Amino acid sequence: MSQTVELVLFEIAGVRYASDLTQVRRIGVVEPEQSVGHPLGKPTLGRRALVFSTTVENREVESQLCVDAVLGVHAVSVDDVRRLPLAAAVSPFTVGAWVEGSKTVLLVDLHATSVASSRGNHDD
Amino acid sequence: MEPSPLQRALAAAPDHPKMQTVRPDEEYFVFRTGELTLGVLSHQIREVTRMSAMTPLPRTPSFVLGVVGQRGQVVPVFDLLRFLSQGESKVTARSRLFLSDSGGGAVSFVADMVVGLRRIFISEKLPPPMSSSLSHEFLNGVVQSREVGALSLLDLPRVIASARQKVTAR
Repeated sequence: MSQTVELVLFEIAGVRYASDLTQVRRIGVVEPEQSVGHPLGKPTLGRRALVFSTTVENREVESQLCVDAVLGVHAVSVDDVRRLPLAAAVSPFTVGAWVEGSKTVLLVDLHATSVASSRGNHDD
Repeated sequence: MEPSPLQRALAAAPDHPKMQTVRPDEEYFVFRTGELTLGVLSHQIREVTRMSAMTPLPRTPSFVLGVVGQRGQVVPVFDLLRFLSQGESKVTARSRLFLSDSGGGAVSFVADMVVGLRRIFISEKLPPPMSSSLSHEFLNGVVQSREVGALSLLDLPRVIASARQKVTAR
């Protein structure tokens, strides 16, 4: 039996993404002061947020990625995840893809969205 | 009895074909995108498929439309029109993707319509006209085809290398 990884599937502006479940502390309501901005595009509804921990100046703080919907948790076989090809690996937070048949779901590193945000690299 | 014209022709026919001057040619995969009819060397194309569900990529140049899953492989999709500054492709269910492994790693390009494989005599290739709006950097030549009209021959490996450079330079 192949190894699996648990991914939380979410949607922003009609596009599905997934992140490592172990990065997510909880699913909460939107707190703008904790937001990492809109690195994946502006949500249409934006009613939920993936809350995760990051370290700022040696302090653990909570950050949020605002999403339209959280679609659930999936145990995905490691055989079904891929690194992004060089020609597609541009942003520091899109780290791979989950390939399910012909569908491709981008894998997002939530911690990296916070780093990108702190560098002033976010789409607001 | 007077021999018929056919009998006279057969009597004069050679036993073996005459030596012919071989005209070197190349096989091109010809397609249309926007107003352009383009050709790329067929051995540079791995496969041609229908459009499948495309996932957009954030923070990429406009010519990177996204990625598709192709038999378990994640393949970037490029828009040649945007890359060549010739407009924007309109991706529909009738669009096709052609995949290439040139330059290491698969990439794909959108085509509005596939014309097919055509053999082009090398002697018929002309240098791109100075007035061409397409950058000469990415053209191997042009051909005037009776079937498709003006056909621009793309240097696909150069296009892919340049596209990769533009993507990773950001």
